[in-house]
Amino acid sequence: MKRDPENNREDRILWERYRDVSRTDAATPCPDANSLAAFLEGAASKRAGVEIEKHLADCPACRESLKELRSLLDLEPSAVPHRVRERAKELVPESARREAFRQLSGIYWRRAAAWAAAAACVVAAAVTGMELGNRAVIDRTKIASEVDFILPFHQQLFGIQ
Amino acid sequence: MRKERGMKNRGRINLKKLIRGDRRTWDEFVDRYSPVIYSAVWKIFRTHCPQVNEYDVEDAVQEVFIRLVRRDYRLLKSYDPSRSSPVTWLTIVTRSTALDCLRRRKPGSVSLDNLAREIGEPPRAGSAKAADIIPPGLLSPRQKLVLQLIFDQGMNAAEIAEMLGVDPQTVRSTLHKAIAKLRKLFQKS
Repeated sequence: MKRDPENNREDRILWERYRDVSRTDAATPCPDANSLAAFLEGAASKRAGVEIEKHLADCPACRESLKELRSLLDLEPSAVPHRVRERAKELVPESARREAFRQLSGIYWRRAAAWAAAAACVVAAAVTGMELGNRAVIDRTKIASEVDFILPFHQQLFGIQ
Repeated sequence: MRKERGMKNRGRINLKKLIRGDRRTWDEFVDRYSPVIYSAVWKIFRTHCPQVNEYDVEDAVQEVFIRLVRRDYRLLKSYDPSRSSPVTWLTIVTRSTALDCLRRRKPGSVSLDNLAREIGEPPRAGSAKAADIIPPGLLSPRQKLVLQLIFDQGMNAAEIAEMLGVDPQTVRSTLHKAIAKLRKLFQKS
């Protein structure tokens, strides 16, 4: 790594002397993602910026994080394999799934009710039809027996073959 | 506000529709931000664990999307669009997720040096007696931070300026003022 020309030995000794004898303040809580993002974009308020710098001075992990984030934000987006996009798209979010279920169940019950009504009509029509059919058979049998009874009488009366 | 890289002339994603579970908006979100997430995961993995393969990267990208939508979009709902662009916020989420994925891998797969730096050093206790000579608040938070970054982390003024989002001259000026304070302090004692 290229050294800053102002990183000289004399100043370093002063800093190390200070660092070794100064009390380390307890680090404040690490900034959340929204605060850190605003800081990275230079959009944090002056007060919030000072708080974050104060935290960074006491938190090596956040210093490392900020350094890496700066380099990540300079990256150009790269081409993503199709399967990666499709896999992510397949993630059916929970609320969407609930909504879809609600919609589907609504459609299902409406359709089921319509089918049940249609089926009931068909059954009713079939039963009625069978009943009428039975009656017709009975009537025909009755008529036939009556005809059977009548014909010989006609044959006898008019000589019909 | 930071420009969304490679996303010129494209409207913002409708966050309300997204967190209501609109599939078309979700697909649009994936198409737009997966390149940012994918390139960030690659860079993080190469830095911290060069032996990972493309499938590890793809799993980590999927993990980012899972985190965004799980528990009824809890993480996505926490994003405040008035404070930063989605790219910056998503990069923070991606880094955190990718490092968690690396930590879950079997021991030895992550460079110890990098992990130690990520976890951070324990705070120095300092000598109570010697600390008495240091007036409280001698150095401002920025002065202390600049000295740490220059002397402990070996960064130069330009790198620090970029990291803090300030001018390199501001960094040099902060350094000179801090050193002047320290010089005066130790000359006295």
